Amino acid sequence: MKRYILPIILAIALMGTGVWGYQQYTQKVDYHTYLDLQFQRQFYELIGHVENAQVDLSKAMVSGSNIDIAQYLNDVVKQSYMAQEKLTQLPFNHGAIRTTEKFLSQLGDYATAMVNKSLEGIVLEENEMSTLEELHTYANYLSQQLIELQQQVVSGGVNFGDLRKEGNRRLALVDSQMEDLNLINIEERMQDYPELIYDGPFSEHLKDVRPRLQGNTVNEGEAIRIVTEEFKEFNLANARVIGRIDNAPIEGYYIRGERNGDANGRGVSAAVSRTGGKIIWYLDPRDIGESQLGREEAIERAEEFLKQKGYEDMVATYAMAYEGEMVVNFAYQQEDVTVYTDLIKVKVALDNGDIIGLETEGFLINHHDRDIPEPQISKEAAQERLSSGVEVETVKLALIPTAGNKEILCYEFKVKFGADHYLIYIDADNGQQRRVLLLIEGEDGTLTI
Amino acid sequence: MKKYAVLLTSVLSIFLVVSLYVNGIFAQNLSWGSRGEEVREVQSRLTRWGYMEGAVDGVYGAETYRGVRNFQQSNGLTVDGVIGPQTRAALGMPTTTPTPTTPASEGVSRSDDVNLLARAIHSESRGEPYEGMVAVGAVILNRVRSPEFPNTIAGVVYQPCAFEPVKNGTINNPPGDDAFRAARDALNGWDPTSGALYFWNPATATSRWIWTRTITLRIGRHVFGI
Repeated sequence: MKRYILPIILAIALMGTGVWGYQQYTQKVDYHTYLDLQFQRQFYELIGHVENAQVDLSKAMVSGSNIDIAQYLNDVVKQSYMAQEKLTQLPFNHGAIRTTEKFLSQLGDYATAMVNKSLEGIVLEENEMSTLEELHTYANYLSQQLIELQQQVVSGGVNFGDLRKEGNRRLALVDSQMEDLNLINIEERMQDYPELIYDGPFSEHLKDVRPRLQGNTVNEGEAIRIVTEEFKEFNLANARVIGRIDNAPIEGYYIRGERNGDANGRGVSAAVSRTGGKIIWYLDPRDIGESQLGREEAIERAEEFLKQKGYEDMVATYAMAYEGEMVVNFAYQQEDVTVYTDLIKVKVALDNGDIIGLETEGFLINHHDRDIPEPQISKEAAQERLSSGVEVETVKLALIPTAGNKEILCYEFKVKFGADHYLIYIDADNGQQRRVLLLIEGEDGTLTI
Repeated sequence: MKKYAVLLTSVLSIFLVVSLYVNGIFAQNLSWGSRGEEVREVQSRLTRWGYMEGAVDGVYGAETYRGVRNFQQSNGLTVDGVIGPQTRAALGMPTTTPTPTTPASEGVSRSDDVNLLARAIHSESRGEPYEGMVAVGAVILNRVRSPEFPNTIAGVVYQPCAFEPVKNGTINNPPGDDAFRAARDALNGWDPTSGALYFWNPATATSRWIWTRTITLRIGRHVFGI
């Protein structure tokens, strides 16, 4: 009898494991199915959105009036962004779909730019109409291909859950699945769609930023000297070049160093531009003690620092305190116009007023001597464009960037509406409202949205 | 016209008051095991009125239970040892806790973006120098601005097949102080990568495709590229 005890226990254990394993397995199948179906839903929706975008685009093209065009293009915007959102959340290899993702973003973005034009009463030019036509051709192609893909998915050739699982690990397998999916072909074909240059955040021209920064080319030794010199008052020592920054709008040297005295072993880092030898950014992540400086003192400290480094005519536009440090934003001031594109950010440690961060890329890329034109409409005329419900507190002139990085001269009205403050920008040329920012005032500073 | 305005304002304000009243959160029942300031308040009242002996410690234990039952018995309430709305009223304690109200039109800030970004940075760049952490945050933000990627921080972070920590769940680990600081710096515009859209670790990267990218710089163990 005794010799059966162990086998019986083992047999029971084995059965238990089997039951447990089966439960785990059904659970896994359950989740897997759920995931696969979620992805399938997204895929169906993607096709729907692309189709709708394509149809709306064609409807916009046959519409006669600006308002009708704007209406249909608005739908294009919505549909293409939703399509983009769905596509990016499907488990496809990024390399296999990036052009398609880009196409959908730019389609929506371009349509937005055209909507804005139409709403301003501008009739779309011939080349813009032909661009829309070309975009329509590609949208049409894309939706046809996606419908073909759909057939494959329906017939069971593709399991999205599996695609995700393989991820980047078993590349050969994923690649072959991708080939089956014909995504690569779509991607290749999509690559030929025209380069789009327009006033929008995804426009092609924003990729090749030509910085305005000028000056002599500096070598590594000079770059080290520049960093050591600029941050001398903070005892920067042992600066050395770690690497080069290439293929970027502003190329330069990546430098690390230590601070004598209060080193916490992490050191500081900075980048110096190859052209002109300017500090592009500086970061000192040292521990920060109890705050001793107030808001005003910190801003003053940052102003002083910039002046010392040769940045004249910079005005603090906004400041925000975070645990022990304060980030102060500066914009260039040309006569009475605040130039918001020429941005510098300075980070001040609130324990002893050290400068622990600097960021000048906006300034280095954009700053140049500008001929700022006189405003075409008066301050009073601009104010008439505001809603009657707002209470104007201050007004000044400002140069702000558009979505496509063009600079426009605006009146900046700081207004109060209900409990909140807003900044409203009215174009000084034609009185169009260009932008509205909501100011969120906290104890630590003001945030703009 | 003015009359209507007055009428409308008064109707709206009455509506607001009523809705605030209705929206007030009903206080929780207190029973065995409850803790906190309210329990302390109950205990001190019961002790003062002689229903209960024992420590006023803010923990609803045996002694408090007995005290509450005594109180309920002598006040004609259901004797169940639970402080519900009726017992609460008999004790003279507020039956609703006031809801903190904010004016309807005040803006909110999006501090959760910082949190998500910090978690992504934390899980992706452990052991990297500080600027390497900021750089990872900057890549995520550059992706948000790029047409080739989703248009929100959450969209980029949770994009399938994009980040390893999202796949293995380490994205859910609480971020350290450094990661938070780096996330804030990245959101404030510091970008050590000068616009990079990709980063990878040459030692562990398995994708052949990633090496077709143009490299901008290397920080620590990561290579950044566009």
